[in-house]
Order: sequence, then structure tokens, then C-alpha cells
Amino acid sequence: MLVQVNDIRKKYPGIWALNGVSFGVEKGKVLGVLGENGAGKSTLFRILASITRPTNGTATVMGKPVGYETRKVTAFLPEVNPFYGWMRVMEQLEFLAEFYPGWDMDKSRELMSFLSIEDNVKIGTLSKGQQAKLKIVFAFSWPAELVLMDEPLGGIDPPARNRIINTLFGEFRFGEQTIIMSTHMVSEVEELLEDVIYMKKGKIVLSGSADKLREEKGTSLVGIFEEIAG
Amino acid sequence: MKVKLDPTRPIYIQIMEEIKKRAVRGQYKSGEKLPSVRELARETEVNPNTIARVYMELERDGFIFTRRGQGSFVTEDTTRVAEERIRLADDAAERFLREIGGLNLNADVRKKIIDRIGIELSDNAENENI
Amino acid sequence: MKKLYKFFLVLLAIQAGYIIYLIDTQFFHIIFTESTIYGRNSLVFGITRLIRYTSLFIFPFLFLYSWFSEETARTNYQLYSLPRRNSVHVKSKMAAVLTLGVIWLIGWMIFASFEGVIRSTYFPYRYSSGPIPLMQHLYNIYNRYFQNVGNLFVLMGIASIVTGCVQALKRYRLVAGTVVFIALNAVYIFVITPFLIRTYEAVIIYAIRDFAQSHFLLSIYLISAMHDAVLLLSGIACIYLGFYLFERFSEV
Repeated sequence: MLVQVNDIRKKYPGIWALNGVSFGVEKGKVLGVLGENGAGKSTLFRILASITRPTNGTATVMGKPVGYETRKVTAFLPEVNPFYGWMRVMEQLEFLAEFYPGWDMDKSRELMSFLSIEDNVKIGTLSKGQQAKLKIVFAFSWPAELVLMDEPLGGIDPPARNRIINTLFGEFRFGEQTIIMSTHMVSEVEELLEDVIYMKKGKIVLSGSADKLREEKGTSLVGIFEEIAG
Repeated sequence: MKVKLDPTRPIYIQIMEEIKKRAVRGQYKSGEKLPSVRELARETEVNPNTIARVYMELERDGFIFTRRGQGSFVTEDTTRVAEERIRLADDAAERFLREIGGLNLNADVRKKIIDRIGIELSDNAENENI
Repeated sequence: MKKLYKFFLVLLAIQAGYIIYLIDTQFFHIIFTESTIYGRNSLVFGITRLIRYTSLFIFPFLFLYSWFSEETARTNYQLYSLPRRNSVHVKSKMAAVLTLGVIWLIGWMIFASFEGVIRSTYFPYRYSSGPIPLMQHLYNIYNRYFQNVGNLFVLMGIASIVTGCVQALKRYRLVAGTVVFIALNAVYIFVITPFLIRTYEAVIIYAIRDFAQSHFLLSIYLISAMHDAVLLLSGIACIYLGFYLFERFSEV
């Protein structure tokens, strides 16, 4: 298992955002974390990215507990915009390039041109769609083992969405890289996911291979989601 | 390859069906190279791992073969394709019969339908080699 | 950032202009009364001392502001996910701000040298016997060059601890941080400093009795030097304590 999560719990004032989540992800797979807003998806991602500490439980990536060691193999694309608004696109990428071994700046430029992102503008002026594209450029400019995407397609217009998915499939080294993706818009990712886990109120309520679940339940991932949401 | 996918059925089965149909229809000739896993994933917007699985299953079925470093190709064994053609036709017939069975048709309507099927199929037979 | 640099330059220009004005008007000796050890910390005496001390508050403000704006802009998501320990980011900000602070004090040193020269000229020495005028002159030089370094480090130490502690909170970090910063400063000025000074005096008076009685001014210099050393060292210790707290508690 590339990623192993054991009984992770996370408490915030007044609420348990994660209440005993356990699962494993094999190397090379694409896992979807599906659930409504507030189900705990983002918290789970932040713990896997080691920017938030769990209250209980453990998570490991490549056998090592998540932390400073695992960050060098994890590319985290949070839902929010993590980039410096005052930096120009190229400056921000150059900054990041210093930290990640194997960063390929030519690839960054290639991806930016495919995704039509200007490299000399301030990041604060980019639209939401362009910010999302920039996150993808970051994810695939260096050989990350694990790519964590929290709502990568949230609120993006269809043309940008298609470009992003196109890039994703063009760059994703299937069999080598592992992707964990979350969304509450299940219809957008219906065909992208191999395995899924459904979360509700901080727990996993259903998990398995997407195609198998389709066969068993006789409906789409969206249908299953609606059933679960109740 | 633009395929309308039904999200309520396993995706990999639908892609497999589509590839088989295209080979049967002659859109993919015997021995013709299929798109790479990545290309097909991009075209269909389906997870490359799913496509990889499709190709693996098709190869296990004997429908395609893979040459290392060169890609995947439709089988040159025309009988295999013919088998598939017959299987698809049988499936279609089954679906048709299931639909029509519950309709309680009288002899007249039934005859009209049988005639029509006869005409359509023989027209098609001129265009393809069965 | 550019605005802040401009602000610095303006402040330095104001100080330079002020000193030149003083030299011109020869009112220097009226404005500057002799500093006693308590005078060091009393904000009534020495306008330039006032400016010098209060201008130091810019630096912890800069540090805290820089850190909190990372949190509001969510760039901490980026920083914490980088393959470095979390405290590295706060250490680099601290290094940057301290560098600015030291440069500021060096700049002050240069302009204050003029002040020192004027003082020595206009200010009558109280004691005319041998080594004392020399000591007083040396004291004045020392005073101008090193006095505020200790203060700077203590302020940054407080800011560092505030940043570290605040990480343990989930909400209201900015408000809590400001309150704790002000509180710690109040403790430093009104509780710890007088206590330290009384301690030094007690040490010197009781341990070096003869010395204190015959060389009263020397004891003042010793106290000043000890005080500054204590401030510098405890400031550095607090800075590192802040880093430790930060590493321990920081998360998004």
C-alpha cells in the first residue's frame, strides 16, 4: 500500500471532523474521495499532506508516517489558492522548483502553454480556472509519488475543466503515480475514478472499485452518492 | 473516439464493447493498431488505468494482441472477429426479442416486422462480408 | 514592503534633520539631561532615545504582520506542504527582520555619533578627576552603539514566542497574538526591567562594596553592560523558544 490510513480522528472546537477513517491506497491507483461539503474530505487531505496534525490515528505514505519526510514525495493541491498573489507565475514556479528534486522547468513551460497560462502576470490577477490550471502545472512539473487533489474541478468552466482533465491524463504516470482526488460534484469525475470511498460526517460509509460498485448497485457513482446522502 | 458512456454500468465493459463493435464494423481493420492507452484515455476522458484494464481483458479474450514497445493491435484472426460479430448480433437479437415479447402483437404485425427485418438485413449483407 | 522601506528612510531623514537642528541651535545641553540608570527606562528623558526605542516596535510588527498575512492569504498551505520543517519558514522571516533591525541600528549608530560628539562638547562632566571623564565618554559611545540591540532582541523574542504559542489556537489567532504581545511587553517594561535593575544594583552594591562606593559611575557602566548582555541573551533564548513552540504546534 502506498498510502495507509489507520483510524484517523481530528477534532476541532465543538466537532469531530474525522471520526475514525481507515483505508489503504495501492500504488498507481486513482482514488476518489466523495462526499458532501463538511464530510471531512479536506481535513483528510490536509492530514495526508501533513499540514494538519491528526488528533488520533496514524497515516503513512510509502511506509513512513506523514510529516516532513513524506512531503518530498507528495504534491498537494488544496481547494484554496495556496499561491502568493504578489508573485508572478514564473517566480512562484521558480520558488517551488527549489524545493522539489527533479523539477522540470521545461515541462512547466510546456504545460503552461498547453493550458494557456501567461507566465509573466501576477498570480493575484488569475481567474479561478487559471489558478486551478496552475495547480496542475505544479503537480506534474516534478515526479511526485502521490498527488493529492482537493476539489480540482470545483467551480471551473467546462472548457478549462476539459483541458485540466486532458492534461491530467496526458501527464499522469499511471502505474507509477498515485492520485487521490476529492469532490462533491461526483458527476464531473464519474469516468475518472478507479476506486472510491464515500465519506459522511467524518466516516467512510462505502468504498470499493467504481466499476464493481456500478455492477453491484446497478447505478452510477452519482446515483450511489444520492442514495448515501439520503 | 467519442463514446457516450452510461455511468450506471461498469465503464470498462462499455469501452470493451465499443472497441469490439468497431472491429466488427470494420472501423478497426484486422491487425490495425489501436490508440495507445494514454491516447484513448484522453479521447474518452476515462482513467488510463481503466483503459489499461480494457486492453488487458481484450487481450485475454484473444481479441487484441500487444507487441512490447509498439502498442496494441486488433487480432489478425478474422474468425475471432467473426465470432464476436455473431455474439453481438445474438445479444442484439436477445434484447430485441425481450422488448418485443411483452407487447402482445397479433400475427399481422408480426409478419410485417419479420418482413422488414428480412429486407433490412439482406440490404446490409450486400455492404459487408459476413 | 516598499512602503516600509520608504518609511524607514523618512524616519532616518527626520532624525538626521533633528540632530542638525540641535547642533545649530545649541539647545542640545538643555534637552539632554544626564541619564541615570533609571533614566534609561524612563521615557521622559531623551527624545532621541524615545524615538530610538519606539522605532524598534516596527520590527516585531513586521514579523508578526508578515506571518499573519501568510495565514490569511492561505499561503501557509504552500509553505507547510514544502519538504522542510515548519519552523524553517518562521526562522527565515526572523532572520530577515533581525537583519533589517540590525541595519536600522547601524544607521542609527552613524547619525547618533554626531549626537555623541555634540554631547561631549556641550555637556559638563561632573567629575574632573582622572579616569572618570574617560569612562563617561566611553559610556556615551557604548550607550549609543549598543543600547538598543538588547531591546531589539527582546522584542523579537517576544514576537517569536507569540507566534509559537498562537499556533496552538484554532481560532482568533490574530487577536490573541496581539493581546499576548502587548501583555508580554507590559510585563517586560514594568515588571521585569525594574526587577533586573534592582538585582544588578544589589549584586554590585553587596558584592563589590568598595568598588561601588568609590567608583559610583563605574557601577552604572557595569549595570548597563550587564543589562544589555542579559537582554541580548534572553532575547535570543526567547527567539529559539518561539521556534520550538512553532515547530511543536504549527498546523493549518
